Amino acid sequence: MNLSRSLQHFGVAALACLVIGSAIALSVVKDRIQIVVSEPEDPAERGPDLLELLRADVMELRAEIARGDELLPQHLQTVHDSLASGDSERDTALRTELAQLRAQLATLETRLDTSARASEAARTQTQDSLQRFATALNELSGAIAANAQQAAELARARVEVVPVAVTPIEVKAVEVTPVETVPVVVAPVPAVEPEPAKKGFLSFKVPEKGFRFDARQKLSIVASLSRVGFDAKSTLHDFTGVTQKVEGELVVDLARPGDAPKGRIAIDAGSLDTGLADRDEGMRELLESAQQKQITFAWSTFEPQSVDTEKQLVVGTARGKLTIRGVERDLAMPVKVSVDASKRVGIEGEAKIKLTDFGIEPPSQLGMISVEDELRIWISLRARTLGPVEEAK
Amino acid sequence: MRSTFLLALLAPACIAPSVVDSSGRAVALAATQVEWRDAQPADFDGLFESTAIEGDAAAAIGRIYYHFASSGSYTGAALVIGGADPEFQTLTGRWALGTDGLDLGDGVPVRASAAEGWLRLASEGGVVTLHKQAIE
Repeated sequence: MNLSRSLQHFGVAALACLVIGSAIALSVVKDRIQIVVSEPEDPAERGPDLLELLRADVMELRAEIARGDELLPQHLQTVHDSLASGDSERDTALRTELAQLRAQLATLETRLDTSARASEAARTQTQDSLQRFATALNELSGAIAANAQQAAELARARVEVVPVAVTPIEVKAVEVTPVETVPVVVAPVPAVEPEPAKKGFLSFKVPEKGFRFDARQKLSIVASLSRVGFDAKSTLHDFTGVTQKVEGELVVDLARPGDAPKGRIAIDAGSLDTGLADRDEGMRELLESAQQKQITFAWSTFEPQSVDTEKQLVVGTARGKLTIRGVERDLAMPVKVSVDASKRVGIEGEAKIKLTDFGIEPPSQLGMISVEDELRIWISLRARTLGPVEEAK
Repeated sequence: MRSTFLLALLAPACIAPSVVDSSGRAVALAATQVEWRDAQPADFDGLFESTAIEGDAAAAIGRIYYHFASSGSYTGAALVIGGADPEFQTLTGRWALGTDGLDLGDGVPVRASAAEGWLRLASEGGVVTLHKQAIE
């Protein structure tokens, strides 16, 4: 107990000594302590002024805030306008779509009404027809029953044959009104032409649709196998002029040659050859072949005399317009048409014409020696089919 | 000029008339006057061009070419005119000559005749006469 008390006294005394010592020391050294803060002489060594930087940042932030305050209303207005415009466009589009849908609905309702009315009318007509048919059947059944009864009575009579008036069974014509069908629109399906059938010939695939005698087809004249000419008579010497420069196409059904045939045959007027160069030159002058280069025949009708489809032979008269030196005249030429082994159509024919009909004066000298006005023109053509034609006859 | 024409007309007065008889108006088809015999393998050598096609096939084929090689291969071309526009159809294959005739690879025997420089092939649908040509 004494020890504890002694320690307390000692502690207090020590503390007092420490306080007193410190006060004495402070009083001694207080005037000798000097705190000096100096800036470096070189600004580079001085470094940034943090306060200034902080101040500048604050100023910048304030400026941005000020700009933001200014722009914010504008942006808000823009966003508002945009939203309003979008709403308006969407509204317009929706209204348009709604109007279209209403129009389609109205159309569909109209069609539905029309279809319903048509269906109702068709059903009514069908019922009427069935009713009339049932009535007719009943009448027919009654007549059959009456006749059966009469037949039975006749059978029972057996010995005595009594003429029985048999009621004729009158079958009334039942008028079946055609039912008006409701049109159904079906999208057109593009026609797919089947590939023409082919057959083989020496390993080649040949189209089936070759030459047919009984089909309207186009024929092309084969110049190398054709000739057109004329026979002329003169006072002292008869001669022939001929050319193979012939071209043309014909359209005809050989089995029905009178059924709207047509065609055109043309020869090179300057190519007619009589065998004498001087005579040919004179002939070309008469024909004015330098200007009127072609002599043509436009075939328009045919009068068949005989048509043999088995032998593939046609005889008749071809009619059309013959044009020489630009002058057109009617021409009727009896012809024979045949088909050769190579399925080419041969056409042979001749007719007489007069030079003066075409404005050509027959050459004459001293009134004694001359070429006759009348010539015989002739054709010997071979034509190859180009296939059937589908044109309207 | 007309006098010249008339003189030219009268010049041959002393010679026979030169009118063509009606039977001679048609263009004469080139007749192949040859003695046909059964074809031999040696006949199938070189290029051949058709000079005549007869039968149904003639309506659809304008010309046929064949080239036969002694190695047994062949190639052919036909101008097919039965379609919308003429077009060449070509073939390539092997040929063989047997007792049934010429086999062009499709199993359909073809009757084959020959003469010097000529071939004649007959099949269902027609007959084609071919003349040997030089490859220039």
